[in-house]
Amino acid sequence: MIKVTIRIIVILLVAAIVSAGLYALVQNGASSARFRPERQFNPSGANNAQVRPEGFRGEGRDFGGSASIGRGLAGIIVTLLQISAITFIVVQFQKAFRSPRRTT
Amino acid sequence: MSTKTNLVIDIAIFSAFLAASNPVFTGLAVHEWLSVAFIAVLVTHILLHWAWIAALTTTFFKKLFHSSRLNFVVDGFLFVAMTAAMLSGIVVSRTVLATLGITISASPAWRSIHSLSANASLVFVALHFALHWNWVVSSVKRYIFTPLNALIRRPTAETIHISDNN
Repeated sequence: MIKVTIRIIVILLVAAIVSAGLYALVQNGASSARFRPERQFNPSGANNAQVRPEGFRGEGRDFGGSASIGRGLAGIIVTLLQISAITFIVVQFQKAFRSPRRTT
Repeated sequence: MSTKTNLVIDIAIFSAFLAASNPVFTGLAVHEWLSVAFIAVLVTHILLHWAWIAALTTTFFKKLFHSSRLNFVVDGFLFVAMTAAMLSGIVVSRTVLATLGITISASPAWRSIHSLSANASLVFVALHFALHWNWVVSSVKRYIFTPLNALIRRPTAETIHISDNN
């Protein structure tokens, strides 16, 4: 039990170090220029600063915070397709570069 | 820990990841709380593979060009990406921090970091999945398809009776 507790503390400690590093990086403004929120194209010429930045996947301007099963399922299917595509490419890559086995 | 238990936990983690990575599906409040709960799930996953992580951490440079090293590097990046997604998610959260009575004046950069790290997590989850493809296929065959196949092909009481009469 003590061993498991120590392991949990180690995992959380590593996560805390990563978080602290990222937090320091953002708060110091070192990365603020690189991570500027995306601005949407606004043909009316209105003030760009007032435009709400695009958020996390599926959290665009139409997402008000409430659930939508239809759109959510579509999003899950897209995510599954993306994972499948990457998996397919990596597995094919591994097959292509795997050394041929001896048959005799 | 048995392969069967590992498979069940991994399927649960993957399902939770799919739900958490699509806030439109769950709604923002559930998305935030599910992501907070995901921390415990990830810690459990790492604990289950602790022996492998500890062994590879101590011998990483001894045999550098080995497939397990690639696994280790991908897992490291996945850990950093997920930690960044969770931290930035907490900083920009509307429900979790409000429930806890905490107010943070978050820089707009956190929103971009959340989006970037979430997308990076998706890529590394896919790579993690692909690098364990052989294990996934063999485990799913052994613990899902074979028992299902046996269940479908199992003779019913009626068919046994007919064959006995013949």
